[in-house]
Amino acid sequence: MTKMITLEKALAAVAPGSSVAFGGGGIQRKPMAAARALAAADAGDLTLVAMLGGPDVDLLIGAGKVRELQFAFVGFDAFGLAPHFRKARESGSISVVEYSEATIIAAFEAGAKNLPFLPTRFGLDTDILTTPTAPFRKVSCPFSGEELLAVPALRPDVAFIHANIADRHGNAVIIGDGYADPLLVQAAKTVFVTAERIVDELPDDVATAGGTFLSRLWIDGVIEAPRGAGMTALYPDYRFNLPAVLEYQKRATDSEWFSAWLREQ
Amino acid sequence: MTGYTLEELLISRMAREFRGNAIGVGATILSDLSARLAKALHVPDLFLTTGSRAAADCDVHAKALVDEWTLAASSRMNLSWQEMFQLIAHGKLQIWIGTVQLDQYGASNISVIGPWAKPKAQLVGARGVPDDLWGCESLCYHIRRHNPRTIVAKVDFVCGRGNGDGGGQVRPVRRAKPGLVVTDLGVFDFEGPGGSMRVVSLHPGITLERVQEKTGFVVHATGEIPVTPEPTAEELRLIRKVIDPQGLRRLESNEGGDELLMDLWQRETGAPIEGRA
Repeated sequence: MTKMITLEKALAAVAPGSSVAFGGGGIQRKPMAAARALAAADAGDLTLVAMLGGPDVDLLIGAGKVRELQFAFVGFDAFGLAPHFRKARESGSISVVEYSEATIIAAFEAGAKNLPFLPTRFGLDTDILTTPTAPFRKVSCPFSGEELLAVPALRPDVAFIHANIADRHGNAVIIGDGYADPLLVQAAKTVFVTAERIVDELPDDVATAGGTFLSRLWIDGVIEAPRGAGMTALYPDYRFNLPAVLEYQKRATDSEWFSAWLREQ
Repeated sequence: MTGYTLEELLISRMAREFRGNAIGVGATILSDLSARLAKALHVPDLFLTTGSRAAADCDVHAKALVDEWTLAASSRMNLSWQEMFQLIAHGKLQIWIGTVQLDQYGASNISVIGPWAKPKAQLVGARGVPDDLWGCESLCYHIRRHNPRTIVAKVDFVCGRGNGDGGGQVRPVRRAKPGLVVTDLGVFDFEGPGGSMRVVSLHPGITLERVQEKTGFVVHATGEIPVTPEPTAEELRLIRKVIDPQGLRRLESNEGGDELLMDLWQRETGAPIEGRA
């Protein structure tokens, strides 16, 4: 059975008001082709989920698609802050749930294991517990009595991951940093992988080279999307596009520039 | 200061804190360079993993804007994020964090300035700081500009917890203590009264009066205050010739800006790109 589909078909699975998660991190391996297409699609009022948001999250906030954001970080790594995210937060136009990296990983892991929550110490004694939207509860260890943090499972409705290569059965390989993606694909209810290229069968040397292998059992559809990480980096296929990143940062909140930028696919 | 830059002084000072058989890491250029210098100089078994954990446990290489292409060749493993946090939980991480605010008792903030509900300035979010707190022995910080807006009486949002109020819990894992902080003025720790900020050393030419004037509270200082040790000739050689020949450290100086970034970028992308790893 082939799992090759079009981006349009994948986007049809995103219902208004649903939660959509993105893989990658900052300006690395972001599913930019999917995010840009989602910005042009009908579904709005979305809850975005990203451990490390980058231009994917930022452009959807800018396009007015986001009601809530669940995140540990949004930015362009060492290359600056995310302009629409900043503007939306500073004007109070979106709701946010702030995690740390390890607590959102715990939330994905609980979802992946089909558990209601997982306990952790990460995040204790910090202000991510004190925000009005904090999803955490303190629990006592049933064995030692130690106070721990219960992190409820996250099960995003749809997740988009960008990979270097996939096969028509839905298997995919990420050669560089996997970020939280291996857990995210297991936690999300529906998973789409965009890939630089789709082959009939993954070559053995790629499948076993030590990157991150995502099994077809977790993947609902694969979409061929060359340069699908857009201005962000995809190791070893291409580096991030610094001039494009700097231009976006400078001009994204200029609405005329931004709508023209969104239209050029 | 003569013969070296502030960034070189900081890298040299930061490098002295690393010990072996553990990860030395940082999300900033200065912290990354300090770990590379430590490995090159005195901690050969320091485990380096930079921006991308896909190239982990690699040798010492020249710093690049995009590191994977140069680091992959000597990297021994692809470190997953799950394993990374398991290593943190087992005390195998040492980190210098580039923080935006740091307070009198060593709490740090990289998330928001002003009220969280509607920030005056939204920064990047808490990221991994609340996690590093539960596994690292101490959290060390660096701040580019020491002033009353960055070194404050109380942070606006606690990402890394400081001293005071231990919570009364006895745990098998201890919360990380605030460790050293290096700024453009000096080196400080949190061993003052009640765990408050204390002067460890001042950089050449910096007076205590100037530090006091630039700090949002009274910094503890007693006796003769030492001068921060200058980088050695060998440290300067390693920084300039081996770990940062392109001068990425300038991005963390006042010289840093889009023009310098683009210049570094053009030089880096003009170089031949290696093939698939």
